[in-house]
Amino acid sequence: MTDPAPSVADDSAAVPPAIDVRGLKKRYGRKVVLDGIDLQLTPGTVFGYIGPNGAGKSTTVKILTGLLGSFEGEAIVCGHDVRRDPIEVKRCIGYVPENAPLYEQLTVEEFLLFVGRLHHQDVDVLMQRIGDILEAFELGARRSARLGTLSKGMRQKAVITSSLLHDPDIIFLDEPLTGLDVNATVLVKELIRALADRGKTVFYCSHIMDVVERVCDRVVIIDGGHIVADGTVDALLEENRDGSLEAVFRQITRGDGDNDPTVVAARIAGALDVGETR
Amino acid sequence: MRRAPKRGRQRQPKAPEKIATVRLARILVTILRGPLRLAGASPADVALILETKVILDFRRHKERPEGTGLGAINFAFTILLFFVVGLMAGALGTSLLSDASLYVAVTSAAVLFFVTLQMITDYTDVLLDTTDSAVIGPTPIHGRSVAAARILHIVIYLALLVGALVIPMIACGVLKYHLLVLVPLLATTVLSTLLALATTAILYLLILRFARPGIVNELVLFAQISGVLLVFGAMQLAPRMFKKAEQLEALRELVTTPSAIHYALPPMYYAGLYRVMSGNGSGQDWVLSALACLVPLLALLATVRGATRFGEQLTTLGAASSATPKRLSRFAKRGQRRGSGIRQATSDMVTALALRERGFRLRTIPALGMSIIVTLAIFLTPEGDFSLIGKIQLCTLVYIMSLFASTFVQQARFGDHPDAAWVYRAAPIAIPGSILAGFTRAICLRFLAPLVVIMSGVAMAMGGITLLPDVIFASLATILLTLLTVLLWRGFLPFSEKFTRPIFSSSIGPFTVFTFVAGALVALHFLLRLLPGGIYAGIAIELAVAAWLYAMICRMKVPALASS
Repeated sequence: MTDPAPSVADDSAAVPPAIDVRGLKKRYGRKVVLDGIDLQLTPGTVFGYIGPNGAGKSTTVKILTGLLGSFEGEAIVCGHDVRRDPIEVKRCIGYVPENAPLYEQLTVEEFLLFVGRLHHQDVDVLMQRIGDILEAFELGARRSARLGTLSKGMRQKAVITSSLLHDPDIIFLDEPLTGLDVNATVLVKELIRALADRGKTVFYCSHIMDVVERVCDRVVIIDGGHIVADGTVDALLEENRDGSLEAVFRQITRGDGDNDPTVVAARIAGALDVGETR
Repeated sequence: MRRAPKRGRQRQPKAPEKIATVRLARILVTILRGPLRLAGASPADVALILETKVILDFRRHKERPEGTGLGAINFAFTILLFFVVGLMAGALGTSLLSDASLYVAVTSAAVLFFVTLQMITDYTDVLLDTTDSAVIGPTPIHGRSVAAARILHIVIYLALLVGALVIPMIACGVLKYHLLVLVPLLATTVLSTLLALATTAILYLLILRFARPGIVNELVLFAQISGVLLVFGAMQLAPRMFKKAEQLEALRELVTTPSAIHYALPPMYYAGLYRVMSGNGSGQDWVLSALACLVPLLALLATVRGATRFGEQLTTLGAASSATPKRLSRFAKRGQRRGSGIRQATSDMVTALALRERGFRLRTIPALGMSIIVTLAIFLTPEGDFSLIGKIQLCTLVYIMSLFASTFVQQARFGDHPDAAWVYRAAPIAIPGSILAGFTRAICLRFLAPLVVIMSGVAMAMGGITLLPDVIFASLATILLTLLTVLLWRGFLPFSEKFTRPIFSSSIGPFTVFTFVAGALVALHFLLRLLPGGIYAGIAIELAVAAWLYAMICRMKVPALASS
């Protein structure tokens, strides 16, 4: 395991952080999921939050979006304490959950209107935004289609649209590229950059290292509820000298050679030999 | 010797061979090995699929989060219900029918009807299980084996229900007509069950073949609701319209006199079978007996043989499971976009989902139909005419709508996609009561109000315009009862929970209060009529109370919105 890189957030002490997390701990029963997470995010940055399965990424997101109220430590989002004032936090954030379940009997437009109005948005403004975003996502023709009849990628576009309708300051994206085709993936990557250019903070959780490497200003890797690396992509690459974020990630989160994918793949293929001689 | 500590120990699932239904499944497949091969299915594959399905059923019941075994209680309750119906049918049948062949025909009709109804209402999901296509479809297993396993899966559970229905009927039959009817009744039960099962499957096959998937779902839903209402309506209305002596004689004539129409009526096959087995069979009875045995087996064979096509069409059905007709969408759209805010958003969302969610419609529309049937039953005299005890009783037509509203509120917490409720939790909802206010607005304005207006119109058409104040009082009373029900059911998010059947549990308290208040309102209505201008004062009081209750709803808390 490498030592965490110095935080880039230290440079911007004058600007109040968009997200300020100190000593965040969360346990489910006896299992410790997060064990002392510290994060300070500068507004307008694209922040990559990555880690292996079960590392605590989604739990962090659920805490910061006000969906999980019981945790230890301090979490401030948009200047509001998540524990004490989750409603104010929810006002200023957009959220794209991983594999978001939907009311499949609602049409795309009905769903977006519903979510927009839960965020107290004016219907006329909402209709305008819905139209524009759906057109951009090439989903305009399907706005009257039931969500249940859409492909996975189209549903994901609808969810991403719903997270933007109220023009949030911070957008939490938990695996937002699930099910999207190549064009849509490129579009979302560009969208993330465009949102950051407008001063939005993007909290981006993903397993797709290539995208994280391309769009994120800063990357944190967590493993076993701890931050194991923190820095800009360049800093992480330079420190580990392995050429790609994927290699850095593997090196940090796996450590030894027992889990070398080549060895594991050979073992799986070798298992097929059993019974072949019968 | 010290015991290992229990804490943290992984509970091992029960071994398949110890599960009674698994053993039953194995026995069933072993017995039917020959017919399965004849139908083109592989007994080994059928056994494998069937065992897996039965194990899944067993574990689903075991893993219910509430740990109360509600699934088992529900099934036991249904069995008890079938037993009571069988007992009543047996007692009534043997007391009214002197001819044993007629009793056999009635038993067959009862089995055919209840099995078909049960197939449509409770086993449609098993018969049209689209996960089969996803999981078993890509494997090299023939569709006929899948279909056979699917049918046997239903047979295992159906056998218990049919047994509960028929055992008291057979017992009554043996007591009345002697032991001679035992074998014909047993044969009738088995063959009628298979016939009903196969007919329903073929019916679905034909619907799937000729209708679009969205329409299939609607047709199935329509059949399910109609089936429930048919039974309920028949039980309520038939005894009131039945002119015993004449109709019994006509029925006896129909069954005992040889006629070509018997070939079109399956229960007559079994009457013929009885006459042949008791040594009194005519030429036609021999043909009917042959049909009694052949038709169910051929229908079953056709079902399994047509399974490949069935599987293909199920795949299409699975892909389009969310489709419902556009007419409903247009209705749901009416009234939308008129305002911003959480109340309006929830009101629109509840309207749309209440009109489209299959499970919700299945649980609420029968309640509406039953309310109307009960009201009709009240007015229907044994002579078959509508007899009005007095004009004021016409207001029952309006009052009864509160039963529908109560069911609506009770069921609206459950949704087909409960996980989608994350959208509420992720939204900045500072006043959770707004959600319930929006919900109340939807039910009162978009569902209850039109029904109450229609019922008020009917009441006034029958009782005259002078009934107007009473009808207004009754209409406001239904609104009050609806608001009260929303309060009684505590804060919930619409369509946000997985459906569970509350038989004797949480519904009993709210329903008792509801019944008490409904009774009190009706009593108040009658008392106010005794006072000059009393009804008008009552209307004013109702309006004030309604406003107060609505304000209380707006202030209600929703525990599900609190962070966990």
